Amino acid sequence: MGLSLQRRKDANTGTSLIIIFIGLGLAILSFSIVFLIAGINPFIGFKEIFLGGFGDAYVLQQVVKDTAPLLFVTLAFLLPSRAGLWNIGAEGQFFLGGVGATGIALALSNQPSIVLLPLMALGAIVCAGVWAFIAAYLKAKININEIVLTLFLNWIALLLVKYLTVGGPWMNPEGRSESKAIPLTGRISVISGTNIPVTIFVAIVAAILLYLIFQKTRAGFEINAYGHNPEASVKAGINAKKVILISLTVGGMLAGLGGFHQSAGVIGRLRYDLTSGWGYYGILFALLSKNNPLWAIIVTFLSTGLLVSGAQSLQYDLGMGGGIGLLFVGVIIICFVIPQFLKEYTISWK
Amino acid sequence: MKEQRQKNIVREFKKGETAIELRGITKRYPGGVLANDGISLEIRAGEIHGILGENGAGKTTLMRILVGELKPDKGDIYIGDEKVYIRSPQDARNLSIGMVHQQRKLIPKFSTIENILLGDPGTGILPNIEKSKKKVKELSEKFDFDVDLDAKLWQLDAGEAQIVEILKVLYSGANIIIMDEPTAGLSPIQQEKLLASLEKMARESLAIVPFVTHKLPIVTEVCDRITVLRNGKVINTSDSIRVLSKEELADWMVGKKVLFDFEKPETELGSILIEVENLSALNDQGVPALKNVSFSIREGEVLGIAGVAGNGQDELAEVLTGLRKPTGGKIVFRGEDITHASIRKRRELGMAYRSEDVLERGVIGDFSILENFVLSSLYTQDFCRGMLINVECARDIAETEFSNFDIRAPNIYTITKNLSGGNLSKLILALEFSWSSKFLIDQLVTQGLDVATTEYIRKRLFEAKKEGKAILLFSKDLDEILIMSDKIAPIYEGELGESIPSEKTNKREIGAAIIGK
Amino acid sequence: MGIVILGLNASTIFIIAGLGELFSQKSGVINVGIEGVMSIAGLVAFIGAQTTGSIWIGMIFGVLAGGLMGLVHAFFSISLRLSQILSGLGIWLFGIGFTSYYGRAFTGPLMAPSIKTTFGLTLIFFLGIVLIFFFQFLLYKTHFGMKVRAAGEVPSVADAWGCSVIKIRYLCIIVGSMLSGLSGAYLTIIYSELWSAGVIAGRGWISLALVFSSLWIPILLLGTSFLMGILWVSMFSAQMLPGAPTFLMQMIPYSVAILSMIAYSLIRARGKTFMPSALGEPYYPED
Repeated sequence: MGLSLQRRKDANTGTSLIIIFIGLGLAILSFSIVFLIAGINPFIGFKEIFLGGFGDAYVLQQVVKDTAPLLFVTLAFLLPSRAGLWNIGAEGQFFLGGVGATGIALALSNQPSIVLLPLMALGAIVCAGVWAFIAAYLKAKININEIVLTLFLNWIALLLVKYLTVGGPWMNPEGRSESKAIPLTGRISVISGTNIPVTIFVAIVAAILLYLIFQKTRAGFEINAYGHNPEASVKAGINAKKVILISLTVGGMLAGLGGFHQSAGVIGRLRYDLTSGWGYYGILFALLSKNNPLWAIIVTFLSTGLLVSGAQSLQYDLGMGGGIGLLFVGVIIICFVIPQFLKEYTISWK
Repeated sequence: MKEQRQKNIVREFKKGETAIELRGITKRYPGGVLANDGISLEIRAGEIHGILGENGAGKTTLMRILVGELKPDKGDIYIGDEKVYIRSPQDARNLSIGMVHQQRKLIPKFSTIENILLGDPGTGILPNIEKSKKKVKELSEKFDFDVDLDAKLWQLDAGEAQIVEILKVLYSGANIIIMDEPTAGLSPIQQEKLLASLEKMARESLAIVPFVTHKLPIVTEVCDRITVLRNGKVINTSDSIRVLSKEELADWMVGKKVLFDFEKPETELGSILIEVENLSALNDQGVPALKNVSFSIREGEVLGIAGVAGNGQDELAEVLTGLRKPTGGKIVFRGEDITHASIRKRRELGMAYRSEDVLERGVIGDFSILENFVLSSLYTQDFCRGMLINVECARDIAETEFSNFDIRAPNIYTITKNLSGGNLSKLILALEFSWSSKFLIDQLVTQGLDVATTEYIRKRLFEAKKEGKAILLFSKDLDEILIMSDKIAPIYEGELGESIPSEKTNKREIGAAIIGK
Repeated sequence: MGIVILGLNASTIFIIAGLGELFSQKSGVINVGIEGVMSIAGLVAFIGAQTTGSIWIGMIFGVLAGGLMGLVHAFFSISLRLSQILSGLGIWLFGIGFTSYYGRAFTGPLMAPSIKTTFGLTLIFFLGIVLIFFFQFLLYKTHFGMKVRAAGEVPSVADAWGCSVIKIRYLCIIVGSMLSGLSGAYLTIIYSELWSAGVIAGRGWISLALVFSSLWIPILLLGTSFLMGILWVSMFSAQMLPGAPTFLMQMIPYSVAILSMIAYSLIRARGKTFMPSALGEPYYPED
């Protein structure tokens, strides 16, 4: 009669490995199909992806540099996800981080770095935090659907940035669609010998801190418990509103730090392409890391190499169209979503 | 293996004709339990044939076989004189067998008439609502049912909901009506109405088969014949009808007989630990569920609240623990007014609560046993203090309780949802008993547990009493509650009667109070 | 007056996509990936129309693409018992990626002849109105509609009484997605007559929000879609005025969508639930 599903009693690590392998297999298969349709030999395609991400010191440096903002947005989705919430708004919170940082930089441009940089970081955190708080508050108070809400806030955030930079108050007087430059005192210093802003360390530390919080603190336990079973948690005395507000707002703040990194560390100003979809990559990376912050570091690094850098080289070296990176992200999500059912079920052919 | 769909047999039986006959029905579950052992009986049209048996006697299995949810290993079923195979609920429906469940299978948002129509959705595109309404009205009048056809289902109470289910079954064309604990949850007036309607239905040559656990008025007053099941076998099918005396009417509340006699420890009662004044609250439907409830409990005292399920016990426990907001009244616990305090605050002050819905609210299924211990003591400062906690901090307590309660699982790192039902109940107990609470609310005293565990629970409860804890028990098992409590109060329709010391009252008195007499 | 006509045309997008999602949600399944379905269907329809020169062929392509995505979502959420949200997000992100990449070659205006309009309104608009009334009737006055609603409220009860919840949900999801596909196709080849990466511009998500705010009642959806359509169009026209803060104005539809969701949540907080009770919960017939 076809496939039949039976409930599985326990999922052991063996199952998790199988899931990963099936996902990987499906992904390789799908990528190969995409290559073939584009007239490219899949082996060459895959080789190009690897080389583009890890082939030489130059691309490696790019990958590490990009890992920072991507790790921030990954954590931004990961934290609320542990509480059972879907933060689709990392993209918008990222922008708001950039807005906050740039705003402070432009307003206090005559301050020394020692003063300016921390204030910019603070600005980023506050703006992004407030942006996320809107969703957090509405979710906690009236249980609004946070997926749709954070998503609409993304669009509004993008429009806000466009307003400020394209013909708006912060516009570069030379007329391009970008903000005035952030003064040198407001630029994040780089690791010597590279062009990697030191905020990469902040991201890694944040991931480690998050891990420790979940393992060792009561607040972390509350978040975990709530994510698994809200009703039992409330009965045990956990404050649902507190969990929702904190996890979503702090998640937003993390995304905001990503915006700080990108505007003050990489680009040097605010632009409406501060992120073009990285907030959504973060969703994928968080899912792939199984919501574990330590795994997130490695997964983000590898995925950035393959899907961001690697994809770029597919564009430039093999002439594949732009947007190939996004296509691969979309494909991978489907490929990894599919085998998830094996966690709960075994299949047999009847 | 393709199985043949059971053909539609539309039968009208004459009164006295055998409607359905079971021969040698046997069913063994995969675990080895022999639930039904060669059961043979016959049900006649126009009779009310009660099937009686304790928990575990095989009633549920037999019921499920009759309605197509289970297949017997051996044995045959005959409708009239044709052998039939009931392989699915649809087959049962095609054979005019209908079942009225104890847990209503209805859709709250639909209106009464829509729920009834669902019984025979038909294949047509257009329902002729008017015609169907008329047919339902006719059925209603025929059997003296009184229910608003346009009301939404969530507006109806337990008795009316059951009527809807009966109508649904009738509308779908059943003439053999199986009923699972038909009087459960009904008030005495509703029960009388139900019995009257059943008699009317029998007069119309329908066969009514109620499955019941205890000697209830339905069995002794209304049944024409009774079949008793025990250990999966038919013990007796008797023709006699016994008339229930007024005193025995109260006896139908009796639950499982207490197996051991306990010496309730004499303790010195301390000061008043919790005092409740004029507490009122609404239930989920917005209907008053608690009406000016007042009581107090001292340190070392056990108050037992006796009542049939659904008279406000859940709401009372929820208001006390903070899961539900009261509409009026005051709660003072350990000298503090906690009427509007958070759940966490109440737990910090020492209030523990063991509730009925285990997997939904009692534990987190995905967590390990150890983690659930941490959860239950998050704010009670017993073994996991302050901001930093280590899941291991609860290890010693978890191990101790694990062996005390004899929880059958590999170890404390086992994932909770993999535990069996009985072990889950024990775990819930362990969780709420394991920290130094001052006040214990217990909704499910010893239902469904084996003898050794029951004994251990009672021992722990009495120990808690000696330690000076105040205990509030909810139960409908009068024997149990008389033994365990210092004082008893009956609850009926949200009103709490006066607390009487347990030695000054007896089962009859309380039994009468909780059914409203 | 012209604004009203334009507004009605714009509202067609919300009406049809919203109706598709409404139908699927009534049976208990939510598809948060409508935006992705509309993007993919919009692109496929555009390619079809661009290469064949026929709008109608393009529309058919779009509907089929929508149905295919619906089949995928149904398979994931029903047969594989996956989280409906996860499946929907996957489809949305896949849609972004797929259309970003494969759409690049087709960016630009449509070179096919436009279709006729009556009083400035297209045939699809009238189709939308008809569909609204059709579904209103279907859901509330027919046996089938009752089964759909039962599947969305208490699937175990519906199943026990002979409505195959699985079949009903598959049907509702696929039909719903076909409608979303129709809306996406309409958007690209009739309404905007161009393709670009961001052409859907969140209207799929807005349609989703409108389903909630219309309390899952088709007639109400008609009203909220009209309002959103007129708002959308007014906002665009107003941008033409000198000195208008274009970007701030573009925020309006999304803000209004947010407000409508807040309004819905407030209504729900008062205890009136219009949402199908089983929405979003996977159905496990084996339990």
